[in-house]
Amino acid sequence: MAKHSEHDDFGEKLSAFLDGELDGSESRELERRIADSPSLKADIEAFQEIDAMVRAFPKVAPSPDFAKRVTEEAMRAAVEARMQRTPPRAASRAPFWKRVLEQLSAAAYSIVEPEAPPSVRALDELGDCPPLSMSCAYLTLIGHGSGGF
Amino acid sequence: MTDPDLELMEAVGRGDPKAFEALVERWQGPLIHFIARYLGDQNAAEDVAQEVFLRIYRAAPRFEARGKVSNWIFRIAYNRAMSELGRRKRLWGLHEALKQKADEEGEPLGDDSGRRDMEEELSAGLAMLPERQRAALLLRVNEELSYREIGEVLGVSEQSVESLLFRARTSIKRHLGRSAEGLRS
Repeated sequence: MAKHSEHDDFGEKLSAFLDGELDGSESRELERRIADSPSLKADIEAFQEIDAMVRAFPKVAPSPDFAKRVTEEAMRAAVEARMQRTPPRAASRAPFWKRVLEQLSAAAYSIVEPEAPPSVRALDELGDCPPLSMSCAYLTLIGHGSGGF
Repeated sequence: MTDPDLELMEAVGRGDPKAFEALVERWQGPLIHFIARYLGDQNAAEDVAQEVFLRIYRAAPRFEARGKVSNWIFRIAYNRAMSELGRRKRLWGLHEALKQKADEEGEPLGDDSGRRDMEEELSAGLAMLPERQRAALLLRVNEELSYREIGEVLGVSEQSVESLLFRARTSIKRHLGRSAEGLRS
């Protein structure tokens, strides 16, 4: 039959004893056992030594600008997240007549100024033109502005 | 007793960058040390710690104090470090497979059988521990957290913490004992 060791009874309690996690009566009982048992005493001393060695590990220090760098990164990420939440002005929402005008204007511009590539503006810029105002839309699209319309 | 980090967390939740920087400055040392020892890799510790702090920043507006702020911070760090370890294990599996292939093809391997001092032995002993045991020991010894607090960080009961710590210390004791015998012979 296997020998019944003290560790069977008190094994896990040794750690808790060392960490001050036992209640008063348990702690006193174990203290008495440790005093009577060289084996338990050796174990508790070994545990204390291990703790001291772990504690004595050289501290891993952060680089001097770590906090500043992390803060900047957090701010950058927050701005990015806000921008992603803001829906872009979708070109597909432009009315049909604007889309037709864009194509017509681009074609007209390439005939008038064949050397230069048509500088077609974003459809969003047509938003200032009154509905069906061909001249406003044309001037806006070729880059001469829509002022006065 | 009021948690000194609570006020900081509330300010972080309102988007105050100075409060966030103060929180990082306050916890960067213990967190980086914990992650470095848990992973056994000092170089990666800052990168993981940065991710932890960014998660804290994102979660701050929804933060509700259910315990000490520092326990919550360590819990995030523990989870993040654990994921990092999982990722490394997957890579390590690949590395081992390649190494085995190299063995079969007769390529020379690096010799790591040199004598190591006690600190290295202790690092090796820590690295050999199951992850929860290692985390429990580091949180107890370096951060002096109570069993209840360690339980909060690791998501286990106080009883389990008691067992984890006992097994961690016993394993390291055995490992160091074997190393000492090896060095003597």
